Amino acid sequence: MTSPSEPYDAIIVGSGAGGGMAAYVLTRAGARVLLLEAGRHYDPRTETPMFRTHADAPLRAAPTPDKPFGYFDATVDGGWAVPGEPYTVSPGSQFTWWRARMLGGRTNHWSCMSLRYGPYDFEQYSRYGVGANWPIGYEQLAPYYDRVERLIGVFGAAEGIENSPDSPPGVLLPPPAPRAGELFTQMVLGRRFGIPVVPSHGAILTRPMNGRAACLNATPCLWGCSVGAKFQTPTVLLPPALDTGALEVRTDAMVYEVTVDTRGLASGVTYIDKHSGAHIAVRARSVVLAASACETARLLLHSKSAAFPQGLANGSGQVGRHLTDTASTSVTGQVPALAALPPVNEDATSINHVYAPWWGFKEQAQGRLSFPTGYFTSITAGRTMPWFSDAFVNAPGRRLVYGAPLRARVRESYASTISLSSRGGMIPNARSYCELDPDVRDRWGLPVLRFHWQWGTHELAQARHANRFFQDVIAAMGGEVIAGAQTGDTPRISAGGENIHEVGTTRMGSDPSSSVLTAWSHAWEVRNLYVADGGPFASHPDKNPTLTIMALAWRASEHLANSLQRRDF
Amino acid sequence: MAVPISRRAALRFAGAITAAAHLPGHAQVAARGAGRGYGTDPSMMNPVVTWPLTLAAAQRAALAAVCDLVLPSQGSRPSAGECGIHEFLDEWLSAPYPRMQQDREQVTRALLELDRITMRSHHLPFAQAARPDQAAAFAAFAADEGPGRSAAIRIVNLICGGYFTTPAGHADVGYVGNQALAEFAPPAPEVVRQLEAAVADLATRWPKSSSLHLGFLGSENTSIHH
Repeated sequence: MTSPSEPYDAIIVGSGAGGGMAAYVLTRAGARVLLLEAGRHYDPRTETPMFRTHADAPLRAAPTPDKPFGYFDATVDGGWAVPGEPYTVSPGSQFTWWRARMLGGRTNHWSCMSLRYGPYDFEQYSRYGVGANWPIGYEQLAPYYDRVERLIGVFGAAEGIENSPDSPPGVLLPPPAPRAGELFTQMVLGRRFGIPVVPSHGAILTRPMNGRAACLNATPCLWGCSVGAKFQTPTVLLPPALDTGALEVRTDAMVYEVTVDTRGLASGVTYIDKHSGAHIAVRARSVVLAASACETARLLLHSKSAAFPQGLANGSGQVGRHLTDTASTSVTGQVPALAALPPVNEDATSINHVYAPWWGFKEQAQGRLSFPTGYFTSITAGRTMPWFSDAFVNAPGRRLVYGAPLRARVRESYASTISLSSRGGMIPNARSYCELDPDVRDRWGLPVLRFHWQWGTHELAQARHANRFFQDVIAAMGGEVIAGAQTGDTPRISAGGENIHEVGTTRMGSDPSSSVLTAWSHAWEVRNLYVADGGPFASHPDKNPTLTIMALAWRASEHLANSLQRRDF
Repeated sequence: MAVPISRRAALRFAGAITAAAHLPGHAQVAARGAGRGYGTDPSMMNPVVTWPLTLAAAQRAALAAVCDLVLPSQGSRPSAGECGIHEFLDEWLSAPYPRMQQDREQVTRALLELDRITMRSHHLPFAQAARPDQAAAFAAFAADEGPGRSAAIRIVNLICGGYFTTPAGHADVGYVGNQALAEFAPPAPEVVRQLEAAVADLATRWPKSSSLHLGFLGSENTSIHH
């Protein structure tokens, strides 16, 4: 496809879920690709601390500002703060932004929950009169979900759940069995509340596949996986892309501008080599941005030119708008029925093996619930490796226990604790967005993002409902709530960005005045500029976004490959 | 019961090297527990404590005694002191992170107060007092409704966190994982029977309605359509 003056058919910015998938699809379609990653090279095969325990790490692997999810978390030079790369939050907003600076990006510590969006999720405005419709429906994305699931390996089952589509037969791997506490929760939710609890869908191999080993049922997935059972782009998507001979990867390459030519098309990018400090321009016939929803928005907003004075592809002013995250609330309880169970190895995969899909469609249709998006219930129970704070059984306001009775208290707490968390959808609102901060710059002299964030009334009502529901579930289990209960009707809800599911900042649509991208994920204004991260999402349902990021990235990359083949640009 | 020594010893050794490197020019800084953290890209394969361990010998001795009061040995289970949790506390309280520095201040004050109590009653610092006297002093300290209680809670929690993340603690709580399994087995039939019996018992106290979750609609009973 290339010519000597155009060394690359495509430049991809970012090596996470979207960028990795774009590299896989484009190279296998014959395109010559340059992949630029802002972080360092990272190889899970040699850098994963398999079979370690928390006691093997400094401070028992407890969270620190350097490693907010603990020492062994597979996040390099990142977390809620990246050294030398700040962001700002407007007064009155609560927003936090998780980043990683490593090959594979945030896939390395991803939990791997892999739920398909359902038909309702693509037609939010039509169904609920709020938010926006996607320019595509589930049927357009379904074949790509099939391909992604077959390629990366996703376990799960077909349960016929409303708005949680089943995969075709033979696509999913067998799901792991439930842990005892998960089975107990399934019994209580089913029999007391009439709510089904079904197997989770997870991007973790329960059978060997394509040279990757099946899960060893040990070592937290958060730490990465040396045997390739867990999905990470450095072990799953980048090796086959490199095998084509058509992929070049440059790490420590901080892209800061997408350049344009006289035709108004993307001509390449400029990046800073973090080792030398040199500013390097590279040219290509197309550009795919997969830097994460917010980093991509920042890059576009910073790519100003005479033709694009508001930032590239931002004639509509929509870049950075419609920022959403998963809304969540959590309640933790202790359930005596579980304390008496015999000790067994329940490490298994790190993901929860079951979950309760959203169950309130009928009530919403009847107008009996005041929030239009639902939440699925994440159920955490089991005798997994104790964290440092798991043994903090003494709390202010309670009688201090130490000495011989303390061991019994810790044993009971460890065995009987269940956490229920909502993973709820969010309706985009005008008060939640990101933009370039007019004053603050990062270590490279580049303007940083400023976040504005407010939950809407829908999310607050949803969290209030979920929190009250979870308290009643713990009560039905015969348990005692020990953490997370809201006070009265005041909702307890996560901070913006806390669930690390930020999407929507370059949304796709049918109307160029209210969207940044077309239905094929390329910019309305720059047809050889594609976005392959969470930016294109037009709605934010309850399901985790990563599987959909990969399905959309595959679809966009296929479209780009065809355009390159036809020499559309 | 195996006491986890090798990894901890390695970590202490690394800390000691760092401490020695700091001594001539930066001893005062080190004495306050400052130093560099392990950074945002530490080695996953060879974890190292990068800051000096800065508790005084007397403080470590006092914490060893507190460890054994908080988690004494029980049957085959070693005490927290036998597991070296006071050495972990030195690592924790010497760390250059805000939360650990906050703990250092609280724990250091607590140790001074424990010394004051035993000096008043037995004219000995806490670490040198007889075990029953140490127990009485800690009980008196923890009975305080103000700062003493909150400090005692934090100390007990830190000791628990240190202990129950070791192999000894894992064995005590019944964590038997971190072993490769070819297949994760479902709960055994006797466990399922136990759960069924528990749920049947709980069900006798549940309301009888079949669509019970509708009871949660409550105050959310408003239209969603704008």
